[in-house]
Amino acid sequence: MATTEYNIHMYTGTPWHSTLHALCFKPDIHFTNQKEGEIVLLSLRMHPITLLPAIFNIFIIFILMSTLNFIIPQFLGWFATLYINIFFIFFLCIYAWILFTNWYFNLGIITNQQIIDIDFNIVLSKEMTRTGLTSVEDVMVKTSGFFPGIFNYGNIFIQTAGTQINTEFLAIPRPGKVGQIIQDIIRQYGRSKQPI
Amino acid sequence: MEDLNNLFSVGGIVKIGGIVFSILSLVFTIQMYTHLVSVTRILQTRANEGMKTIGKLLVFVSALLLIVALFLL
Repeated sequence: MATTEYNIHMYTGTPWHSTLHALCFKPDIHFTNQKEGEIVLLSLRMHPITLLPAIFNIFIIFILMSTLNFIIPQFLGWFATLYINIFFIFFLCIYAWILFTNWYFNLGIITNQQIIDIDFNIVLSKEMTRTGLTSVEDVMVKTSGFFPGIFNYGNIFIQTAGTQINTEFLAIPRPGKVGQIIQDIIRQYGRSKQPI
Repeated sequence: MEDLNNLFSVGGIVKIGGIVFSILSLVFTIQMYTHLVSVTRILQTRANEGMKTIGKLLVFVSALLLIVALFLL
């Protein structure tokens, strides 16, 4: 067997991660209904740079509130200003928390038996889609745009046979390499159904 | 009448706003926490316990804010 950086052999491949754990090989993750002998080989999250606009929003709102702190005390007094500030900071904490949890639990998992896409929104919904490796027809990698080109992230579309839902992982870091790993996993575990 | 005037003064509106905001944030953080617990049952990662602790902390802080807001009214 050829030795590669991402040796996908179930037992000898060394775990690694990249881009702030957005891309992990053999992560320490388990999920419900995980079958016996099923090993999580890859976990995918959106590139952290996609959180930058929201972080920028938090920064702008914080600057705005700090500026208002020079004006509000003249009308409301220091106690009301402090009161408003406490609520405001708490609001920003909740906003940051929503951002982080949505990023953290929006996860793609590729095991030696199936592909799982978890779409999670802490406020509204959660959805879990499973696709067997044997059903995968094609893996398409698409990178387009200015920032995806600079920061090397893109979308991965996994097309399945028949009426099964196609899976897509959006804004994944190092999409070329991830696509290659997924194809290697499918080649080894999907077609033959035999773990090597 | 004087009490009503105080209630609808700028300071009174700030205090009522604080109560409304803290009630909403309490409901919201409890909902977030339950949703978080349900997803941690589906997906077990090393960070799950930490995430749940932060979720509990947010619920606790929002409850504390509600108590403070009610106390100040």
